[in-house]
Amino acid sequence: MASALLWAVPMFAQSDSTIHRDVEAVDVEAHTQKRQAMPTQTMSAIEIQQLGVQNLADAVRRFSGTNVKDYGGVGGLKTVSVRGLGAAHTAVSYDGVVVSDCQAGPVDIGRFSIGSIETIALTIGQPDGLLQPASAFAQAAMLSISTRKPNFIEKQTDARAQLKGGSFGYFDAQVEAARKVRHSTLSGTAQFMRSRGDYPYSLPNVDTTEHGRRQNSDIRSARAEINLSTADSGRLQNHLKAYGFYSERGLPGAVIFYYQQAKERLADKNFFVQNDCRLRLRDNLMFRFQAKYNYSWNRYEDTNVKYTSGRYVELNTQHEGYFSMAGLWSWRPVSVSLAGDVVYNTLESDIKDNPQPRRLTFLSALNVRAALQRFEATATLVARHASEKVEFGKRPDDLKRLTPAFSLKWSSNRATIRAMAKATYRIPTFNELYYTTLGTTGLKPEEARELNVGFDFGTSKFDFSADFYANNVENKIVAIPTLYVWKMANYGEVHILGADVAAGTEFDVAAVKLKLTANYSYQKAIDVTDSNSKLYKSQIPYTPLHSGKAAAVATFGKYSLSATTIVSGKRYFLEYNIPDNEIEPYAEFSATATRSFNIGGSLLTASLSCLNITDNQYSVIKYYPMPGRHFQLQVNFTL
Amino acid sequence: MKKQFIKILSLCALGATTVFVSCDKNSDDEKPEVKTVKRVFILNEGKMNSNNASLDVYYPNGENNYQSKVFAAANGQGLGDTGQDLLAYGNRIYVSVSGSNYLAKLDQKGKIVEQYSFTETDGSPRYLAAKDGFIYVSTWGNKVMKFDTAAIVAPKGSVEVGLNPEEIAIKGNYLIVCNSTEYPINDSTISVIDLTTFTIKKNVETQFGNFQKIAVVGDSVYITYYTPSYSIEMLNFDVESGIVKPSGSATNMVSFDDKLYCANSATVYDADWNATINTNFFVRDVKTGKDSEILDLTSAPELKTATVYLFEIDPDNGDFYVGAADYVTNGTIYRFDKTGKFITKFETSGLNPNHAAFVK
Repeated sequence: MASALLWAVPMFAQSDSTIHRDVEAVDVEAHTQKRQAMPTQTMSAIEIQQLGVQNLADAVRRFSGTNVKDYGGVGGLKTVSVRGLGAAHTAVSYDGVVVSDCQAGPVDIGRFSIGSIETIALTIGQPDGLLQPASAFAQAAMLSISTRKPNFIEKQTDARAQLKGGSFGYFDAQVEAARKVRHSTLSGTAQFMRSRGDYPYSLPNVDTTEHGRRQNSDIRSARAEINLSTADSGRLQNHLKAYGFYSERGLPGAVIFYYQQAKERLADKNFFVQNDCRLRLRDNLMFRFQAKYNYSWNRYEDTNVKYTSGRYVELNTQHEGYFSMAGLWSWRPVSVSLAGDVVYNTLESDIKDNPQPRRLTFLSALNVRAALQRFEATATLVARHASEKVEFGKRPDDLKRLTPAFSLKWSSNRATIRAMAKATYRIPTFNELYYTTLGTTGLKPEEARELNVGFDFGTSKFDFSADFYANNVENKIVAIPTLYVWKMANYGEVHILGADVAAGTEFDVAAVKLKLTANYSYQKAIDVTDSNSKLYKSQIPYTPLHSGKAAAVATFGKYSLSATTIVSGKRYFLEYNIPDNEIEPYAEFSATATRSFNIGGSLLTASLSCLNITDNQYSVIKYYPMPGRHFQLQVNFTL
Repeated sequence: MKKQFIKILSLCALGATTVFVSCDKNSDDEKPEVKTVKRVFILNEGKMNSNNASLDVYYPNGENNYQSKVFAAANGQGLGDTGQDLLAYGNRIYVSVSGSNYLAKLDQKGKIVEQYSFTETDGSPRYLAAKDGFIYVSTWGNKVMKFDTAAIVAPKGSVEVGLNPEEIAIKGNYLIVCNSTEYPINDSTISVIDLTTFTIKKNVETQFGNFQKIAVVGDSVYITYYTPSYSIEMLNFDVESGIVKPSGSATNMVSFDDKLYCANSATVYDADWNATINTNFFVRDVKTGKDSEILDLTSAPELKTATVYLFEIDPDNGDFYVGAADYVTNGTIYRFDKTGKFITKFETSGLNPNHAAFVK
C-alpha cells in the first residue's frame, strides 16, 4: 500500500526493511492508486489482458477525466488530454524517464506496445513520489508507463512469448527473455506488429449512407528493448535501458465523401538509451540520477499532382540529450527534495525555411512535504529557463518561469480527503514556432491552472472516489486563419468545471470472483474568450459533457470472462455548438474470455476478445471512423 | 448488501446508457423544393476534411426568404468536402467541390443532372468559367479542362498551364489563368489560353507570383496575388502587351456595369502575429483609375473588421451581397442596394460562404 516512496518517508528511521521495501517500491509506485494527494488511476497487465484492452490509448480512455483523440485503426494517431486541458499538457514517462517530442508536441501513445506493459498510471497533477526528475512536476498530468519486470521466483531465467492476431490483418508477436546474474537482471524484448487496417465503415450522409473500407491504413512496426537492472540490497538501484523502434504506416486521413485519395505515408525511427539510478546514502538521504539520449527520425510523404513532380517529402530528425539529478532529505516530519534537469533538443528538418532550432532547458523543482499524523501537506515550486538558437531568422525570447503547486491530504486507513492547486503551462513546439508560414516565434506559453478537491473511501471489497475540479486555460496556442495563411497565435481562454466519480467492488459468488468497476465524468469546458462572439460559452470541440466507462470481470479457476463498455455523450467537432457540428453519442461494448493452462510447469494464457460487439459505427474524431465489430486472439506463454 | 449494490450499480449503468445514447436523431426536417422565382444560390465552402460544404437559396423578393442546404434536400446527399466555385450558366448551375473532387451540373432546383469526378492525374477542381456552351475548370493538376455543357460526364480536352491554377476568366476569345503556387515554388506567370484552338497563347512572365483572383472589366484585367509579406495586392494586366502593373489592394473583385467593384479585407499583423482585419469597399472607375467608397456601413459596422469571403453583385439590380466568414461559425451575408444602403443580413447554413449565383 505505502508504495509511494515519499509518502513513507516519515517511516524511514524505523527499520531498514521498511526503507528497503519503499526504495524498491519506487519502481512500481504506479501500483498505488488511491490514498494520494493527486488523483491517480492505474491499470495492470492482468487487467489489460482480462479486459481485452487493445492498445495504450484503449487503456487510457477507460480512465475517468481523459479524452483520447483516436483517429482510428492500429496506426491512427492517439493522444491523451486530461480534464479539458489539451494533449500537450499531459507528459508521458516510459520506465521513469519523460518522453518528449519537441517538434509535434503531444506524444502519440499509440506507439507504445501494450504487450510489454506492467502498469499504466495516470496522475492528475504530479506523481506522488518526491524523488523524481524536475520534468515530472512541470505538467498538468502525467501518464507513467512501466514495463514488465522479470519474475525469478524459483528460477534464474524468465522467458515469455506473446502472439496476437485479429481482424483486418492484425498480427503481433513478442518475445521476452530475462536472466538473473547475482544482483543484476539482463532482459531483452523483441516485437513485430503489422495490420492491414482496412476495416469497413458506414457513415451517414443526409438520406444515404457512405459505405467503404479504410484505405491506406496499414502499419508495420518492430521494436527491441534491452534492460539491465541492478539492485544492491536497497542501497543502489540502477536501470539501464536501450530502446529501438521502427514503423512504417499509411495515414488514411478523414473519409472524404465521393473521393478517396489517401496517399500519405509516415515512417518513424526512434532510438534511445536511458539510465535511471537511485542511491540511498543514509536512511534519510537519497539521490536519483537520470540520463538519456534520444534520437527520433521521421519521413512524411504525400503523393498528389498538386506537388512539384507529384510528390512531397519531409524529413525530420530530432536529438535529445537529458540529464537529471534529484536529492531527497527527510527530517521527520518534514521531507525536502530538489531536482534539476538539463535538456538539449535539436530539430533538423528539410521543411522550407526551417531554421534548425536548438533548445536548451534548465528545469528545477523544489518540494517540501510535511506529514503530521493523518495530515500531509506538500508545496512544489518549478523553475524553468529555456533558450533557443536558430540558424537564421527570429528566435523566441528566453523563457523564465516559476510555477507553484500545493496539495493537502488527510487520510485514514479507509479514506482520503485531498485538495490540490497547481499552475502549469506548455511551451510552444518547434512546429508552432518555426513551421513554414504557419509558425510564429513570438508565441508565449499556454497557461493552465488546475484545482482539485476529492476523496476516496475503500475497504478490501469496495472502493469509491469522487473528485471535483476547476481548470482554466489562457493564451491558448492555436492556428488562426486569414484570407492568406494560417498563423499560430496565443488566443483564447477556456474555463473547465468537472467531476470524476469512480466505484469498484470485488466479491465472491460461490467459486466465482467478481470485480465490477465503473466511472463517470462530467466535463463542462467552455470558451470564454470573447463575450461578443457567437462562440462565447460554447463547449469546446471533442469534449463530451457526460462520459462513462464500466467493466465487469468474473474469474473462476482458470477461466475469466469480462465485459466492458465505454459510453460518451454528444460532442461537437467544430467550435460552433450547432446540431450540424455534433458527433453522435456512442456506447461501445466489448467482451473477452480468458483461459490459462499449466503445461509442464509453464503457463499458457489464451484470450479471445470480441470488440465493439454491437458493431456500432462511431467516430471519436469526425470522419475518422472507428472499427466496427472485430475479433482478437491473444496467447501468452511463460516458460 | 452486495446484491443491493449490484442492483444500484446496474441501474446506474443502465440509466447512464439511456441518457447518453437514447437521444434520437432529429425527426426528418421538411424539405421544401427550391422555388423557381428570382433567387440567389449561396455556396458555403465548409471546412476541409469535414464534408460540410452546402448550398443555400435566398429569395430577394419574398418573405420566408431563406432555404438552407437545398442541395442535400434535392439530392438526398451532401455536397461533400470543400465547395470551391459556383456558376449559373445557361439554365444550369455548376458547382466545383475540390475535396470531393467533382464538378456537378445542377438543374434550376439544385438537383444533380450529371457530374464528373476528376481523376488523380486531373487534380482537384478549382474555379469555373463559361463561354459558348463550354465550361472551363482550373485544376490542381496544372490544367484547365474543358467540358461541353450538353454532357459534362467526359471532358472535351485540357490544356497544361502554370502551377496549381486558381481563378480563370474569359476576355474576348481568351481565357486568362491565375497560376498560383506549387509548394514551395511560386509561379510568376499568367497563362493566356486561345479558346478557338484551346491551346496556350502565351505564358506571361511577371515579376510577381502566386496569383489568385481575376476580374475582367471591358478591356481591363485585374488580378490579385499573394505577396511574400503576407498581403494580398491587385495588379492590372494588359493581355496584348503582357504588361503587369501594381494597382492597389483588393481581396475580392467583381466586374459590373463597366466598373470594378472591390472589397479589401486587409490583414494587419502585429509583432506577435495577432491579426487585425481592416475592411473597406470601393468602386474603381477603370478609365480614370479613381476609387470611391461604396457601402454605407452604419447599419453593419462589424463589417469593418470582418473577413469578406463572398462579394457578389446581382446583375439585375446592382444589389451587393457581402459574406463575412470566420472559419469557425456559420457565415453571415449582408445585402446592400446599388446605392450602398444596407437592406438586410442573414446567416447561412455553413462555414465560409464564398460564392453566389443569381438565377431568374
